Amino acid sequence: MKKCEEIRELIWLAMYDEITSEQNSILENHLQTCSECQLDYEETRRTITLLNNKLQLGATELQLESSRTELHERLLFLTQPKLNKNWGAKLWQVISLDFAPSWRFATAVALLFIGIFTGKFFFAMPRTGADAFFPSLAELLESNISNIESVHYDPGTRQVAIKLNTLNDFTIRGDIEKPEIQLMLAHSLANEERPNVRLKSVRALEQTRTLNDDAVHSLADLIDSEENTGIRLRAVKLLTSIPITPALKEVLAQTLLKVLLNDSNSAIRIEAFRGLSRIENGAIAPALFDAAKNDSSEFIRTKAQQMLERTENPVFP
Amino acid sequence: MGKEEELLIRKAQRGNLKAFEDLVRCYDEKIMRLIYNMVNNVEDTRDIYQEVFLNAYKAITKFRFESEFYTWLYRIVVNRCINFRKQKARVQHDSLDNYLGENNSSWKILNTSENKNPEEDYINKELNELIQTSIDRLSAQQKSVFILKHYHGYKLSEIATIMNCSEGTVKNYMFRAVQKLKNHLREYQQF
Repeated sequence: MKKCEEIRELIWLAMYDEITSEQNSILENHLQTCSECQLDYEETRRTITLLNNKLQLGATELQLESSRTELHERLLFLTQPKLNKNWGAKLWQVISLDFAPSWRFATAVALLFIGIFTGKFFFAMPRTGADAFFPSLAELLESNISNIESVHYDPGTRQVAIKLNTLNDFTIRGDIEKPEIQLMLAHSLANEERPNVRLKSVRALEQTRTLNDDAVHSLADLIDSEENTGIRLRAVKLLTSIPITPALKEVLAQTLLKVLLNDSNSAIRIEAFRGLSRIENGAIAPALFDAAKNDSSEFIRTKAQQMLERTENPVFP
Repeated sequence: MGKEEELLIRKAQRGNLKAFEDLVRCYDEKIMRLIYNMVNNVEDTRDIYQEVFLNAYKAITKFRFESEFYTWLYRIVVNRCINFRKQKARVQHDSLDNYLGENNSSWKILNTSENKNPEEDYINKELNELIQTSIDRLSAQQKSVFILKHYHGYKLSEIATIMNCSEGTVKNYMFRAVQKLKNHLREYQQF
């Protein structure tokens, strides 16, 4: 008679059709007499069925073609013919053909000094009053155009690289927790026209442990004006996940209430409702109930009613 | 392995880019789905897709026809996803709303019915999140084996080749994965 522990291994093998007929017979015989293993069998079957609810995301032809095109370009770059390594040797031969060894050394030193002076001349330019090459952070933030070319976040190092759309491809780099970085990301949310940059800014801010007040206010403003549903949802989720301090409670509550009352997307309203419930610590405030009771989403209406019933001392009947 | 595929591989090994890209087309859709199941993030999926095939191109001369080409390729995918998970400080799940719907035609859900109301949609997404969280709690090897078995339907023997370990080891990973998932999802099932 097989022990139950051995039978449990056979149960999952049977579920996935990896069982031999001999093992299947052993399993069936055991299940007829062991109620505990029967329960385990049922539970395993239910779990495996439940796991089929995980959404399977597939790429469309459009996405596949886009990825293939990008791969093609990368492969072309990878397979570019390398520079002829003999070039260096030939150049050296040309330079030193009629020279004695000491002259070769002198030529090398001369080339070195020419290189140093050339570099200093072209790259050590003095700042001018109209300095477009090295803008200061204050100048950038004053502008109503974000001037941001791209945002990249490295999860391994927690460093953000914000590439600016300036003449010399200036890039600001820093840790995601730095106030200046969060300020730049907040500036991007407020002023950047391209949705993919705004989205990347929200995603980078999601990685912070604490959000500064400017970032929170920018998120609140973004939610008010953002047309892209995905970005708006992400911003609302971010706001609902941050620690609630007394200073931020009011702005969070106002923002989320506004979303609950006005947003056309029910998933976003549901997220706002969850956030408001968290702010109120599970209780139902009058304003929240009023906003929720007339919502077109039955889920929100039902949840609001349930919360009201659970409140021990309701503020209103 | 068919003769056609063998011919493409040999051409790719001699540096023929078109042959390699033809091989990519044979497998990339399934590989994209596998990567997404492993990392559950669309942006990361795109990045890893590029890395996997670039690495495959660089390493293709080392393929010795001792296994099927797809198991060799999938090994690169699984190893990259496992390493990616180790590097990532925090697991960042996607909100699928960003990538689906009328405004986005790059992605589609393969296993859902249409005509859902928003509440059903929300509940399904919550359940999806719960399942994903449970799967993420598995060890890297358990998760890889489980995903390859449950969501991609590979036999244990094939998974053993992909993971470069014995079938007994794969069975062990799968058993532990199912036990952990059962324990974690038990509460939801009772509710």
